[in-house]
Amino acid sequence: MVKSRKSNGQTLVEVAVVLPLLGLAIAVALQLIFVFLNRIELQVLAAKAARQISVETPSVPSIVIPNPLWGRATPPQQRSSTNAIQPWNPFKGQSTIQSTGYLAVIQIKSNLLSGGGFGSVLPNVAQYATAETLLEPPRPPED
Amino acid sequence: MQRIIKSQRGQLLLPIMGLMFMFGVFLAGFLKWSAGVYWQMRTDMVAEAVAISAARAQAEMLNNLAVLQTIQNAFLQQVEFGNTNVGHVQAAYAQEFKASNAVLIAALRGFNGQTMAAAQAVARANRIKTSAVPYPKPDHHLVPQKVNVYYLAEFVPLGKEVVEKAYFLRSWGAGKLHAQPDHQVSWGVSDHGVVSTATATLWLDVSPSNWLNNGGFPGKDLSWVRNIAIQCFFPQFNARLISTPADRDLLLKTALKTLSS
Repeated sequence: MVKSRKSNGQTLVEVAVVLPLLGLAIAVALQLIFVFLNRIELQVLAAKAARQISVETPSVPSIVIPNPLWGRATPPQQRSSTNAIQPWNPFKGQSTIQSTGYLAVIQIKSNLLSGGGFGSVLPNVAQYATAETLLEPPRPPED
Repeated sequence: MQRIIKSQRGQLLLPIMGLMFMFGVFLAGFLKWSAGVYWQMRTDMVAEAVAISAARAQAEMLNNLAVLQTIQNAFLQQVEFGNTNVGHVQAAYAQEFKASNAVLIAALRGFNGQTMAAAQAVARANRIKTSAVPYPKPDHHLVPQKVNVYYLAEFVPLGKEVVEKAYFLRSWGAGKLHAQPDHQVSWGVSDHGVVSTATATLWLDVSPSNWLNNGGFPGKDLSWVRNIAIQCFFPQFNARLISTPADRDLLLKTALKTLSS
C-alpha cells in the first residue's frame, strides 16, 4: 500500500510539472505560427498592392478587407510614397518622351500584440512588409 | 499491486502524444499553406517577368526595325501614288539597297522567334521547368509594302524591279497619326502545380505634341506628306505590364492545368 501511495504522488507531480510546460510550449508555438503567418500575409498584401498600382490603377489601392491577420494583430495600415526616378546621366538633348517614371514604395504595418490582456504589459511588436514597383509614365493618347 | 502501478505509468503518454499529433498535423497544414503562398507569389512574379521581358524584346526589335527602315531611305527614294508605291534607286547603290533590304526582312522574320526565346530564357532562369505559353501568338503587326523600283544611272533609267517587301507599314492605328501599338500578349507559367498569368503591352514613348510623331512606323490612310519616303522618326517603343483580361486568364490557366496533368 505504501508503494502504491508513493506512485500516485509521483504521477501527480509529473502532471503538475509537465502540463504547464506543455501548455507553455503550445502557446509559444502558436504565437510563433501567428507571427510567421501574419508576416506572410502582410507580404502578400504588399505584393498585391504593388502589382495593382503597377498594372491597373495609378493610385495606391487601399488594403483588402476583411483583415486576413490572425491573433491580436491590428488591422494592416498602409503607407505609400512615390519618388521620381533620377537618371544617372540626365538626357541633355531635346526630350521627346511624355514624362518620367516613378518608383512606388508600399509599406504595410501591423502591431502584433494589441489591446488588453498580455498585450497591455508586453512591448509593442510591429511587423512590416515592403514592396516596390516601377510606375511607367502614362501612355500618350491616340489621335 | 504491480499491475496498478504499471497501468498508471502510461496515463500521461497518450494525451501528450495525442496533443503532439494534433499539433503536428496543424503544423504540417500550416507549412503546406505557407508553401502554397510562396509558390503562388513566386509564379506570379515569374509570369510578370516573362511577360515584361518578352514585351521589352519586342519593343527593342521594333526600335531596331524602325532604324533599319530609316536606313533604307539612303538607297530608296519612294513615294505613294494612289495605291501604288514608286521609288528609285541609283544603280551604283543597287547592291547596297538589296543588302539593306535583306537585313530588314531577316530581322522581321526573327521577330516571333526572338520573342519566344526571350520569354523561355526568363522562365528557365527562374527555374520554371515547363514552357511559358503565350496567348495570342506574338506578332510584329507590320505589313510588307510592294514598291516598283526604277534603277537609274544618274537620270537614265536602266531597269525596273518589283520589290515585294521594300518596307513595312504598321497595321495598328489606321488613319491615326499619333497611333499607339496594339501588341498585347498574355503569358502563362506553371510551377509546382501553381499556374499564373501576366500580360504586357507595347507603347510609343513619344509626346503627341511632337509634329514628327507618326506612330513609330508609317501608317495607312495618312496625309500624302506622311507617305513621302519611309518615315520612322522616333524608335522609342517601350513595354509595360497591364492586367490580364478575364477570358485570356481563364484560357491560359485551363490550358496549363491540362498540360501539366
